[in-house]
Amino acid sequence: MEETEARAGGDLKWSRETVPKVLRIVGTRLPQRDLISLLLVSPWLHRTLVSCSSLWLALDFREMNNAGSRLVAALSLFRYQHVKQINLEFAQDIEDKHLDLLKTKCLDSLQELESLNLNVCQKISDRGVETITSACPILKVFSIYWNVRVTDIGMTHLVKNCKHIVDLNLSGCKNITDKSLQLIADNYPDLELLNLTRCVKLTDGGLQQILLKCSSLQSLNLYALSSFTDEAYKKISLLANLRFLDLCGAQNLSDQGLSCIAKCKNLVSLNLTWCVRVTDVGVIAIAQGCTSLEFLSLFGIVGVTDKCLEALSRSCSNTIMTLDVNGCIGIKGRRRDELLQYFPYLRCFKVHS
Amino acid sequence: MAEVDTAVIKPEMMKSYIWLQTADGSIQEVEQEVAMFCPMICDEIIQRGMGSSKNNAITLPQRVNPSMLSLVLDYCRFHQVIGRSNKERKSFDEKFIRMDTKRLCELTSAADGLQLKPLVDLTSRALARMIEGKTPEEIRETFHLPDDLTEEEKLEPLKNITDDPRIRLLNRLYARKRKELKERERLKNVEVEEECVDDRSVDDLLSFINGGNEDSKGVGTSKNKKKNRRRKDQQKNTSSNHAIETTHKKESNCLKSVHDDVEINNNLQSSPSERSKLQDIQDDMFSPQANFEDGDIDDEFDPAIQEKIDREVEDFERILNSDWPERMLSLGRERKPTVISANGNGSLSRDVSCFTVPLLTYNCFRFHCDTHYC
Repeated sequence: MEETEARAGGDLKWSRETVPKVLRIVGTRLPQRDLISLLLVSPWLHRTLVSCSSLWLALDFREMNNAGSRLVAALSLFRYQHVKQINLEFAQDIEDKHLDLLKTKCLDSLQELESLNLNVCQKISDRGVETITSACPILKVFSIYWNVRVTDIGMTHLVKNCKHIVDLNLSGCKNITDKSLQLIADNYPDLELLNLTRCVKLTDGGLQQILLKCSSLQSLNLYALSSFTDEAYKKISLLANLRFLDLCGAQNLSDQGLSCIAKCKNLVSLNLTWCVRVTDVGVIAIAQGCTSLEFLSLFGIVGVTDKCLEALSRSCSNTIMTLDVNGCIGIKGRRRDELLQYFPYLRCFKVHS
Repeated sequence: MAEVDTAVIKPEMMKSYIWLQTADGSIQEVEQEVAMFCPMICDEIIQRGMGSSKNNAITLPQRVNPSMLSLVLDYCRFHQVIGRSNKERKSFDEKFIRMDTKRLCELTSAADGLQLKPLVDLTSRALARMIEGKTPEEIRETFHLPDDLTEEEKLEPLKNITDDPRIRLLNRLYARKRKELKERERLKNVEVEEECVDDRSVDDLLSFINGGNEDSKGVGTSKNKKKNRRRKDQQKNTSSNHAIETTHKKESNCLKSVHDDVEINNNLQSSPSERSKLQDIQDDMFSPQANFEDGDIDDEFDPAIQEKIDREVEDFERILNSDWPERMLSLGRERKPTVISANGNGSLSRDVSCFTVPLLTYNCFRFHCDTHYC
């Protein structure tokens, strides 16, 4: 009799104390869906998990439908009051009105938000940007790619409301102009990551402002922007902390411009796909200047030869792990084994598809 | 000539040992270099000078029982050797965590108690893999957790770390209900128990609490046999509801609605049968089980409030009993997202709203209502 009682007591301890405490530790390693499943397992587990605030710092609504409603519902819950990160990438049914609702109903829960991902939330407009940025004063990471409704007006609100942005992704926001770049340059001197992929209205003037004033930039993405010229490219040398640079499609980039870029000694990743004016001169300059290079694409550049490979091998043979020389008909020794001779740590031979 | 340094001292002889004591009282000797791999033990030795003898053995946290300690030390013994390659370590780890769920949980707990982060990471990742993609039912099976809760378990007071007034009130309800259960148990032995009849329907109570501007259709509808009685009662209680409806215009959150109700309740009269329950409430208030502050005591003395709380509790119980199996069943399927959609003029319309669900369904609904966003 005592034994069964003891076992029953042990069972109780197991289900009410041991398992909840252990799963609280495990909880940080679980994706949102499974964490919610755990809440439904038992009230003991529910209680233990809900009281552990570090588990409830991120909300993930990626690809979910009815995302706007879900977001409002979730932020109304006590346990999400300190949420730091919200991800709505590819979410459906999220509109300006939901952001309005958030601001009126859940303002408290947004005060600690640091990262907001509105990628492909194509119904959000400048007004939505105004609303949500006015509710999140300490926002650091803001991403709204592939949204053509966002214009310079939206950016005006962003820089006015959120003074601490360090990571800004405007990829595909085709209506952004140099005015936005001016605003960004004037307001975010500590900006570290900037993605302007396909913002086709931008010109040298705007880019120069960024290069002059955002000297902390570590990552700059200018993918598919073909209207810039050396006038702007040369000033990339001002970015002493630059590690990641994507110039895919920079058809006006010359060896001169590239030689200036070579002054960014900390470059780790450089994409020169379709930079058709570049020759050995420019790439050799890069080889000499950027000795920590790990990722390099020369896809589609017909003007480079084996000479640049030799130069790269002299300085970066220990670090290069990705090298794309497909379409570089000027280079004769492009077989895998030949490349491995130059760069023994090479793992990836193809970047551009 | 004293050739002191010609004596070759073998390393093995110099190995020092420290003493560890587990919760069951047993003390064991362990190689110091192995035990020091655990930060907690390291601290005890270095900062507090413990462990050098049997008498000042380091007391380990309670969750580190002898068999878990043995496992942890096996881990330490392997990993504290410097020369091992990453491949070796990985291979060891993979074999090491092959054990049943129970032991894995105990090991996680023990490693956490000893602050041995790499082992905590290893075991947690293994447990995470066991949980990923599973339904709550499957998780219960994996961890041998019971499915059905007794009445009493459902009514355990919630820890109110943040001093949430809603939780305070809820705990009061629970205490009340637990008392009632005990009373019923006692009566069972004496006479045939008569079912407690609550005249009010769920819907009435909800609209009562929420100020009557709710479409309470969707809330707590259960398919139990008391439905007919409910319809009758709805007519009875319509008049009191109307009074409430007119005073409650705004939608309010849970807390607000309760406070508002307190004022409204002054209109209600308590029945004689409720007076005895009032005494119980007073007892409950001073019992150590309920957690609420002195500032709330004034609420409890109002008999009208007692009546309201009693009814809430009754209904709460009914909901727990009737809805629980259904609700839990429906969890296996895709949960429809909620609930809150703004209509044209900006006001909210609700089917089932999480944060305005009143206290009485707080516990029942919290499991799935507050997870519906996922």
